[in-house]
Amino acid sequence: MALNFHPPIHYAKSEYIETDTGNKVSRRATIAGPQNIILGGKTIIASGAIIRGDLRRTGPGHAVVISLGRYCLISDGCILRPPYKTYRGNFNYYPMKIGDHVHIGSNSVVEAATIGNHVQIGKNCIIGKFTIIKDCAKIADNTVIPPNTVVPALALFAGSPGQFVEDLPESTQELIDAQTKQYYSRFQPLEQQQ
Amino acid sequence: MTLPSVLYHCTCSNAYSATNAPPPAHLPSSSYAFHPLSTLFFCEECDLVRCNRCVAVEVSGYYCPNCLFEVPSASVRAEKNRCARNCFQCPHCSNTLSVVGSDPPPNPNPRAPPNVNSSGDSPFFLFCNYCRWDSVEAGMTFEKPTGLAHQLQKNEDLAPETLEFDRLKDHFEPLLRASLHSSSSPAHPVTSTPMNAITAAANSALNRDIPGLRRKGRGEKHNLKDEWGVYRARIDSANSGVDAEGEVDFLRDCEDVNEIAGLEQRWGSSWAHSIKANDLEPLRVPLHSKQSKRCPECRHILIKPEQKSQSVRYKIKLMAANYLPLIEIMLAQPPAQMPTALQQRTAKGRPGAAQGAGAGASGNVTTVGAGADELGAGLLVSGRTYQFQLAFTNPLYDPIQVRLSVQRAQPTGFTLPTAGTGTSTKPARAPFAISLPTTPFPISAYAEAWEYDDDDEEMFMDDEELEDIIAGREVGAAGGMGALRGGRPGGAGGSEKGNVGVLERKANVTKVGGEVVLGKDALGEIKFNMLVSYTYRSDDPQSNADDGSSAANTNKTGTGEMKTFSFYSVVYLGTVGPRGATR
Amino acid sequence: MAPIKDKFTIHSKAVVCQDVELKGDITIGSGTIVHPKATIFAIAGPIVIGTGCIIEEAVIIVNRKKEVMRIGDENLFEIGSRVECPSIGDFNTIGTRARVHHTLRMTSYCVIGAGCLVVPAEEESLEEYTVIYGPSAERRIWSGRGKIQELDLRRKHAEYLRDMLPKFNRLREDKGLK
Repeated sequence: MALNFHPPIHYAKSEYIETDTGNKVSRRATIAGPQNIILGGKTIIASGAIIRGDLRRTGPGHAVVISLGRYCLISDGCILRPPYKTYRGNFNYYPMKIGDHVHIGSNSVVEAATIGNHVQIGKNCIIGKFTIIKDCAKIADNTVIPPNTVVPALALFAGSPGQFVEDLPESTQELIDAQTKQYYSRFQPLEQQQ
Repeated sequence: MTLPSVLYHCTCSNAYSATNAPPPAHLPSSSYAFHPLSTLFFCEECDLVRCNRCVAVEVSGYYCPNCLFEVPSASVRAEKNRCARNCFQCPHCSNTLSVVGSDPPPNPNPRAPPNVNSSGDSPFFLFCNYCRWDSVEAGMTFEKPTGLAHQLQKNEDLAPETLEFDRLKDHFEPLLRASLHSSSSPAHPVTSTPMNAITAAANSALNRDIPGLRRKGRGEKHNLKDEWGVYRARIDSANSGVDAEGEVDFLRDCEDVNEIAGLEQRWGSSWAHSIKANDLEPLRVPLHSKQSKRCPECRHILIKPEQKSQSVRYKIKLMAANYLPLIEIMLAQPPAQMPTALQQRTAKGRPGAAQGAGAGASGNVTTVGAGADELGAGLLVSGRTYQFQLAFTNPLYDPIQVRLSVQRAQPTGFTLPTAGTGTSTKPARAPFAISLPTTPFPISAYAEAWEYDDDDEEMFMDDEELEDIIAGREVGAAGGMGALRGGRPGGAGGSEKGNVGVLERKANVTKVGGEVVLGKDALGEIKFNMLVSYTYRSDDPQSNADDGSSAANTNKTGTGEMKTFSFYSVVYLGTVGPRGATR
Repeated sequence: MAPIKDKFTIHSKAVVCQDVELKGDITIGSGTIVHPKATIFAIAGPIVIGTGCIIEEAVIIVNRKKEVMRIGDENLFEIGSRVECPSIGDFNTIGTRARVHHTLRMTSYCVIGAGCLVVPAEEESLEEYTVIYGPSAERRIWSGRGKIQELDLRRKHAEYLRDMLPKFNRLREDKGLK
């Protein structure tokens, strides 16, 4: 499925760092504990985003705190932070896993445990601790998902507290796949003239 | 304002009309007849588009949307369509509840670390982390943190309304079965018969309870009545109804509106629920289902999901997007040569543009003044001419020839929605005219290689291709604008057709240009029905894919192996604001 | 308005990340944690924060009044919340992206839900255990059940952060200065 007529989205080349696998990370994003963060490739992290890789699980060895798949977009001002709780009397932060083709709109705060593939999260959303969002689900703009919520596959959630609204079309996966790939190709550097 | 869009017609809205043509675009019924391509199905047997409104839906599996447990259909009935595990909704805010333990007894020294048991203390209760309601407020606590649903369901099952409903069901069950067996209607055996039985039962009950009705109406069906005995309610509703006096007293003394349960909060419970907010009880989470979809005519399966509740894969998935070309639309942007002027204009005109049709409309501004702001907001100005582009993407593995035509079914009596300005006395005339390419144009076949690729080694090719696309688009747009400006001095009527026709061909995408001339009286949404016919080779794959002219030739000679499919679409270009607002 | 002189009094057992914006006369108590990207502005009067509070990233605390803004002990300011209350008691939770206006005073054990906007037209003091939630900032009184477990979670959380934050983040150097 092609998406024509979408003009390129230009960014100042000097603002973004591009990795070998095509991840594009804004220098104006705050990446705490980068050694604990995995980006799948062709993932964009826009300016003003905060990613808390420093809030890691205690214990020996290397701990992945936040992993993002391929073709993800973390828009301006988003905050990703792993969830925490006490379990059997011990306090800990737990890792956050985000799949492929996941777009998160600007100024959303995410403390989810798992987000599947092809998930769309709108602008100004608050995704509570330990939320589980399954494949191809969609969270509308301005939604507040309370902690421990489960969003089933192909469901649209909206409101505060976020509630099921409707089932998404059967073609959602192909649609989001094409849209996220398209977005990545449209996201092009612009050499600055100054 | 919505962006320009193209929606596709499903013929199911024509069930009671002689033609297959959709309603004219300006009628309100138009919005019910068209759908986004991504939501449509395609039945290969009937060779027709199907939509969610016409397909037959069957449940292929139940699951709890919270714990995602797949519930066997046998248990669904026994568990009354709700989750029988530990999933509950808050009666106040409908958030999902969690099971928590009680706090340990308070430590005499408040500064000392609390002595918290890691697994929580009995009694357990349900707690909402959103509004902080808990089930203790409704007098519910539990000895163990598991199996709460069974305890709750026991309460539900003993509720008078549940017992009454079960009794009703028992009463009518033999009847339903009997009428199912005796039914001789072959047409729609599954769907229609139970309805008949229920209707018959309802009729009979009505006839029995309202004497006047019986006498007036179906006297001849007397023998049917009372065949199944008289239903006696468990409770005499006249005597043991709701404690109305108590409620009145409660309301009289009520000082805080929060003490009364809202309608939404009571909606999910039975009709006999108390109006006191304190009486609200947690609800077991209702189950969701996965659905199979069938063609309403031939009953062939169009959608069959995989069994697993959270799988997004399908065993059968016949989407229209894999058969019909995808059509995207864009109104032409102002020419790139005027960037500075445009920037100044948009900077100044922004507040105006936010209100109505924009500042550019007020004076004697050239068409360039129809800035990106207005086009982006889908706002059009009457009396102007706009260029638009349609991009067709071919999903088929064979090249296709596409022919477009505008549905000329504008009824003669059509008048503009004038909103009391008095112009309705003028002779009715189509408020806008559309020009589309009249000759068929080709679109190359879809090939896997066209897809942007995931593999990293193909990154290089990606970029090149992308640059080509960008360059191509810029050239196309500039060329189109040249034609536009060339035609401009001749006045509104004398525009050239330079932009109307094939603009660009790239992989399996062909872009064509069109034009809309808005009349002085144009107002409201500008949209038109477009008939799209495409011809493809049904079985011979060896024809040369890229050569458009040869494809056109085979079209003439080898008609036997060519197939043509037609569908209607509605093209929405934008909205003309009321004239007052533009000044 | 005369510019306020910066004067930071940070307890030696507080953890304040370097990437935090402080302005004006600010006192931060023992064991309080201020995450990176938080902002504390004492524009008019000073701000005094008690012990064991957790101030998460992108939180904004502003004092627009002349009087001292006092924040008690063991309050949790979640991600991106904005608070201008002239006084806050103990053990309150201000949810993610919640905004509380300067007309509201908070007592103790109150909860402002995620994303709530609380703008009372007149000066108001929130009753203890008040819960504000939902898009229209509805109110309820919390039974208080579970508060000991929550307090336990908060203390362990703060303890964890005091231990973990310095490993990955630079801290302010001007600690303990009087």
